[in-house]
Amino acid sequence: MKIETIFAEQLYAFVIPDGQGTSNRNELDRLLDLWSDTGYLFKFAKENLTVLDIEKYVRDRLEDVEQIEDIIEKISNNSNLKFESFFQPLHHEEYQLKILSQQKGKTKHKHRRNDLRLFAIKIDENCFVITGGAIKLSQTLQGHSHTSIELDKLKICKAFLQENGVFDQDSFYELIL
Amino acid sequence: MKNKEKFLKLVSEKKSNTIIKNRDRISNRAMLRESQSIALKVLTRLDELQWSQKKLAELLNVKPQQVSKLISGKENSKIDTLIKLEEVLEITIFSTKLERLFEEVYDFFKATNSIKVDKRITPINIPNFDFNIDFEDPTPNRTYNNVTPRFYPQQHFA
Repeated sequence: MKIETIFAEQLYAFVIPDGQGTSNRNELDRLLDLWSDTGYLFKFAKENLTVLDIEKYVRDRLEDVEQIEDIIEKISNNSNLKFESFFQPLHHEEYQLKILSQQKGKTKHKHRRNDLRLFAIKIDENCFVITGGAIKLSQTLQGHSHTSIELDKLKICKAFLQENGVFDQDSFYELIL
Repeated sequence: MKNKEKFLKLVSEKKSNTIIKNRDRISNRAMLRESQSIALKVLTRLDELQWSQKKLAELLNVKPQQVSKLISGKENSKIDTLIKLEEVLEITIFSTKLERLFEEVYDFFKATNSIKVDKRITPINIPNFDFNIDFEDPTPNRTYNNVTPRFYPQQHFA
């Protein structure tokens, strides 16, 4: 398990072994590549959805991933923009400040829902590490094996950080201060 | 030691090139969108015909990997490959950009409820549409994947 810098001080991403020793891409790289793969999206829609207009579904997801690309580009060019406004708590009841807060990135559309989710752990104010992501399928993200795997990864990454001494009791208080 | 300092000690020294790749995708967006639209047409048509990608590769006389690249929507395909695709799959590829424009216009007006329109009923009145299109369907008798062109003007916009 490795962590790579996407851009310093603000955004990082895990490199998670795929079990076959073939994956050396960080999770953000992997997901941006996957979500912009028309063949993958089409297959995903056929296998997991009963939407009538698959072409529109795929086009919408391609539009979503472009929006994520634009957000990343904007933030990387403008220090006044923060990832804080992009990530929101994974559990809707989680509004209070929490250490190791699990966050999901969600792009906003005026006229339709956005189904792409980036999962991240909040390390500090405006500092996140991406652990994975999923295409939302059901009302609760836990409702499908596709997203469950990604949520498990999030937990594994969180455990990895804790095992390595990030966010012990001492640091908990430091952060609150 | 603060949390963030502890975290930074875990971060690899090697910096990722994610931002550079992201920038490349944005600067190549026009090409990628076109490529994605073509890929989507091919996928839809393969699905209709119940053809495998392998079969398409055989008919195109190319390696299966080339078809995989094409349907990923990331390939800058050669014109001769696309013409061959049109012939083999009996689809229209080179009108993709125009079709997408109509699709976007349709989606916008539908989403904003500016107009009520059935996708299948044309023409529609598009307010402030500030250009003229002398549009003629090049293959009027052809059914495009059952549904395309998704927005199908039957008379000229004025």
